[in-house]
Amino acid sequence: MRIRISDLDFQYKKSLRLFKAINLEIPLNSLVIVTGNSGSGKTTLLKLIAGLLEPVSGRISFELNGKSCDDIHFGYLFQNPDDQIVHFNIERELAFNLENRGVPSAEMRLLVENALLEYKLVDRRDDSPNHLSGGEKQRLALAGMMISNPDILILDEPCSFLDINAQIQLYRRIFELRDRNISIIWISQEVHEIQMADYVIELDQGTVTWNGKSVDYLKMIEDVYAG
Amino acid sequence: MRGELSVNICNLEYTFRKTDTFHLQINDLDYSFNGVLGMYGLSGSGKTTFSKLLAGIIEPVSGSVSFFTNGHSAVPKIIYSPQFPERILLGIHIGDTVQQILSQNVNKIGVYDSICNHLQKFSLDFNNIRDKSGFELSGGELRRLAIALSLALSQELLILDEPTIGLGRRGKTQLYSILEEFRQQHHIMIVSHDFNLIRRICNHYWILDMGKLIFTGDLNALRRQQDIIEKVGINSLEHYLAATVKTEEMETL
Repeated sequence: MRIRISDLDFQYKKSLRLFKAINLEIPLNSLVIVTGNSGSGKTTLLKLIAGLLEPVSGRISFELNGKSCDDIHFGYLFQNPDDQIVHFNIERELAFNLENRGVPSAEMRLLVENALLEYKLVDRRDDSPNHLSGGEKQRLALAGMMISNPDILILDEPCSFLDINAQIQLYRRIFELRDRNISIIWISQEVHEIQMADYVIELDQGTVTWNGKSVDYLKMIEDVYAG
Repeated sequence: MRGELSVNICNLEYTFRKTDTFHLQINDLDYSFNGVLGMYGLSGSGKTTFSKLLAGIIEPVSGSVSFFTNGHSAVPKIIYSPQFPERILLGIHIGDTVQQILSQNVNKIGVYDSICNHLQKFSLDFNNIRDKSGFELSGGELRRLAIALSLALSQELLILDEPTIGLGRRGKTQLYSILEEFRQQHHIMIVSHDFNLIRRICNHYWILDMGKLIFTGDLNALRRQQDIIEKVGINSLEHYLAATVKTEEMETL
């Protein structure tokens, strides 16, 4: 899968233009990291790709096996899981995404059961998400995204609020998903996370300053720091 | 210059009434502020609760927190910079809010200059954000604004709760150098799940685990307690990375 962005312009109301005529191709057959300093436009770019924001002008299109496709389904995992958990019951939370998509109830029950098992939430099914720790909440949010089988999973600095143990657990999950060939775009500012990726896009104040393999990117920043 | 400040904690207990699963209990602790104090623990260990009790934002179920300056009982002015600045700053107009803060302050010009100055050290220009509302700023920009406001308003003790979330490499480096300077004049306490931050900035550590204080002391004392290092996962990321990706050697304790 491939994302093609052409002549993209975007600005928030009253603010200065953030993106001006951005052209970018992102190959999604590997783990892609979008990096850059705070305020460089990482989250905005990903929200535009996911259709959560509308560009002022320009086009974002998707290609699967050389053919263009319009009906892309996204999963978006926010930095803070509290921003996306809506129900007071874990089982209902998992069903929420499916309810919105009009999945028949028998199928929904099956998918929720599988997700409870896979994400180790069976014992907590009747509990409130408010009683979960940060790591457990992020696991629930990820389960809630993955249950509807997205084509592209977007992770927006998902480890920021997680302690070390929860971080390592999430890394394991991300690798598992990658090994199942799920397209993942991951916003990160951490060097050790860039080391885990295959491909890197770097933004600086709304311009693309790197678009290439992560090994080459890491070598480049190493040279910059050394020089 | 920062004045002398110490705290005595006696049989402090706190529970969230709705859920009895969490229980914070600090039996007895005397500490004299000197340099930067770091509070570390895994999530759910009680860090934020404990720091809010210290700041007087929440009341304990039982026990007491008492401050002293030069041997006399004192009520220090404590600024607590919250873990989730976006919850406060998201819907507000930045310029109006700063005006409002200034109007409550005697030293308006000094505080205003200090806000601008700290923002500048974080590569943010107040003139570029004053007409925006919170949701037009990125997560890292909100964090830097919250820290700059806290630094400008800080008097006797500044508590920063998870100050590095959303900051990235450059922001972290800037924060390190800002605090390096700031610590000369102020008492600072940093609350974080990021041990690398605590280790870099703080000279005395409190480590919490499941609502209990399991360690107080400096780095050398901590190095002698490998069971605690293991328990709170201080070296786990380095070990995990060494096993999964080829990284440059990372320093462990």
